[in-house]
Amino acid sequence: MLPIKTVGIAIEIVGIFFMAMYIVFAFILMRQVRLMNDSLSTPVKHVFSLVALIHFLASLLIFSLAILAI
Amino acid sequence: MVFSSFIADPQRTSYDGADADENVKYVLRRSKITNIPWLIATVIMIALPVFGVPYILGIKFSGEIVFKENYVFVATLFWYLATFGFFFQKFVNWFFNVLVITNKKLVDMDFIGLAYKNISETMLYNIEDVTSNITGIVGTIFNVGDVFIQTAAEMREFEFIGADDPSKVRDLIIDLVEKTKGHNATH
Repeated sequence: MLPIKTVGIAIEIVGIFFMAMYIVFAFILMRQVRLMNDSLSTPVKHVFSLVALIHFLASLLIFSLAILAI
Repeated sequence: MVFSSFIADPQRTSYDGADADENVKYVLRRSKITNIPWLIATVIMIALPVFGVPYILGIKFSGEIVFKENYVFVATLFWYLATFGFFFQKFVNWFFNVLVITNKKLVDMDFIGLAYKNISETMLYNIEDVTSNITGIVGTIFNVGDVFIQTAAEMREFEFIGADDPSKVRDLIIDLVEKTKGHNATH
């Protein structure tokens, strides 16, 4: 039988895998927002671009923190 | 105003491919009512860690804590980031799925999920008829329905699903079409 700590770490690694996948989602979302802004230019286009960029950077930061937390 | 579902004469708004002499007259979005399901989902996602985190921290096996506090903290941050990502993606999808009506054209922009983009446009003088309908109890209560725009060219039909006050939308499109056709007839 596996020690409980090993099971906990295995679950944490699965969580990190999801966080890595989320970085891909955040990147695609950032590109999609850029495409949308190009298709329809509005007064808030820069706000959307900035929010999408911060969201992407936050996904990278949280992924790094998760690796350090294991 | 920018985040309204019905904007007349929007400021600093244009679309990709607009002509130099083209002005955006209206920008129409789906009714805000249509956002309620994903807004409820967002609220549930915000509330979940309040109950979930103490439970996860309390999981013990043979007296040993399974998950480290640091990791649960980072996982909670990730959950909130994912909640924000969900909200933001749904919001931009609502914001950019628009029907743009200019003094010359009608442009229908559809973005579905992250990987589908469809933009159709027609000249206003190509529009043959416009139909609006309201179905269901929610639609009747909130005056939300669909508008179908039939064009002469290739028998294409434009759909605007979930519009606020569809009769008003139908009327304003027909008025613009009549104005354009009248203008073209005098030239």
